[in-house]
Amino acid sequence: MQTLRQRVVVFAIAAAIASILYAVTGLDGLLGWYVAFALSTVVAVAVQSFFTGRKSLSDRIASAVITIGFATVVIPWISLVFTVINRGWKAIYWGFFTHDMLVNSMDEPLNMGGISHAIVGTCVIVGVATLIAAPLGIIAAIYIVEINGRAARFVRFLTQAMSGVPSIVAGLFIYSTIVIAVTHKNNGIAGALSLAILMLPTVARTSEEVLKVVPREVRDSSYALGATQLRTTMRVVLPTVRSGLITATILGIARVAGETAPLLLTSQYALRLTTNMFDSTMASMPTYIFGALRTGTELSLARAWGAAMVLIALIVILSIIARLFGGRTKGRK
Amino acid sequence: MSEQIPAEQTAETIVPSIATPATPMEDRTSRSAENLEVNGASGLEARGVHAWFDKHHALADVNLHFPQNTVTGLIGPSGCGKSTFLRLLNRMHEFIPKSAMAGEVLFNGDDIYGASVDATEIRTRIGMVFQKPNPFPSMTIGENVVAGLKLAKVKSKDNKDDLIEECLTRAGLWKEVKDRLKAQGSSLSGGQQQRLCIARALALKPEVLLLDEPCSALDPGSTLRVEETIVQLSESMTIVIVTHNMQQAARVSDYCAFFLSDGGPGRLIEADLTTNIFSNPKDDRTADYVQGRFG
Repeated sequence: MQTLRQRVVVFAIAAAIASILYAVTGLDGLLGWYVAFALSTVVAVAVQSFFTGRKSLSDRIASAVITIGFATVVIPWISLVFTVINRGWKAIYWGFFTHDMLVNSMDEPLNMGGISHAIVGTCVIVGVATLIAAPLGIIAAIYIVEINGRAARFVRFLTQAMSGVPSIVAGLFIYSTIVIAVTHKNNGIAGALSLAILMLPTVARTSEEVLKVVPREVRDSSYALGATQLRTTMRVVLPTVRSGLITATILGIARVAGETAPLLLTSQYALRLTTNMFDSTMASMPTYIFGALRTGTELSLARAWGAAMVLIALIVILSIIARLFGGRTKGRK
Repeated sequence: MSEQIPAEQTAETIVPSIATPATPMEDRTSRSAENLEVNGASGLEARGVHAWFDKHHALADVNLHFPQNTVTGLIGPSGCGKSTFLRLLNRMHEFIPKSAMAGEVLFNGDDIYGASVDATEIRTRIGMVFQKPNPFPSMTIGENVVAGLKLAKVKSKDNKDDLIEECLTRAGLWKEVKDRLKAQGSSLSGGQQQRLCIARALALKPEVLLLDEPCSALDPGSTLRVEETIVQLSESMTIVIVTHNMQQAARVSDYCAFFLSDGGPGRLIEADLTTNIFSNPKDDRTADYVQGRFG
């Protein structure tokens, strides 16, 4: 094992090489330096292993590459969260959660108006979309894995194809089939339907993977106790993978909660707090952020960042609640 | 077994002796000699049974009778069709896609493949335990035992708690788990899990119990506990056990049936009293197999 001191020395050498590279080559900015540092770390670790023992060479290099890969993923993520909080917190005050924008404009001071209408709208639209898509997605997965009927391959192909559909196409589809043909106006339910279309393949494919994990012996045991396929699925297979199915649903929600394009075509944009999905257009977090960005003033941009921060927080809180209330099988660690 | 193993010794410390299968074997056969053939008409009987997987003919023309309250060991090398045959006996075979069968399996005189027979009802009367211990992961130990009642929609007259105790006692697990019936089945050791699976099968009060290599994933101590359970159960039910372990077949079974595939479909080569199979087999291939010359 390496001592801490050895590690520090290796990283210091890597940093020095990176600085030289940075100075003599065309690499530019913080990102350029990071790329140089990543490469020179691998080289430095390789050179060090070459002297200390060649057996561990590939192991050390692999460790270095994986560490750098981890950092490359985590640093932008931290940066993103930090940026959103840093720019968004100015817009947060108590009224931000309790007021709507009916009597305020985007450009007014930040202690006026709020996003209650957008929070409620997103909760209602995403909630209804989940109620539609989660059962359908899980049923599709059950058809593919448990029943494995004649059309199973076709259904799997379809869910794979659907997961590649651009979100605006889902919005256009609902716009043409529901908004124009049926409701004759933009409303919340149209938004929920378009999000359900986007959610369905995510839920179905994740659930399929989850169901595949259940060993055949567990199903066989149930059949051997005289159970029908329906009872085996409902009482043995689904309870076994309950936490996995909840994860599948959360992934589906996370997939659509920030979708803007389909909502612009369906539920559109509103200023007033409402829970009625059928009467009129309905506000939502992404379309609020979109509207605030388009206004383009300093204050409206701060509102947009604030709303983005709240949206991220909402998804995090939702995931935690879902985990607490059913993510775990009874009494299991 | 009792002659060789002092009662104070715990199961974990005992490694079944491979060199001396003779004593328990004699025990078994002397017990069964009294009631063999008494119940010849009842029990389970396979007549002219064949099995196919798609176009592969896996099992050909098996005729075998399992007298009531006896233990029959199905032995033979891998791929000889003995597990396939076992799954035919409670219609588990038909869950394998593209599988087919021919022949009759008579259970108390009626063909379980008859047109009016409900396969799920047959499976509640002919229980099965599999090779890998597999308690239902979402259920506690107690729930696992009575899972069959819910799954098969059987109305049991017994009190649930009494039934749990009775089944776990018969499976030889009650003392070990009575204080933690609400723990997960997966918290038990492999051998305990397998006995839990036996208890789960017993809750439906089956007349026949099919065991598909129930000890192949267990350590010797657990194997011994399961074998003791099998011997005790055989006083009140018919047991068919598939095993790769010759000593196990000798220890627990009254009858042995030797299966072999010569490249084609698996066939029943010889079936007889276990003593005869091991000491005086009629077929040379049986002799070679039980003496470990192949397989």
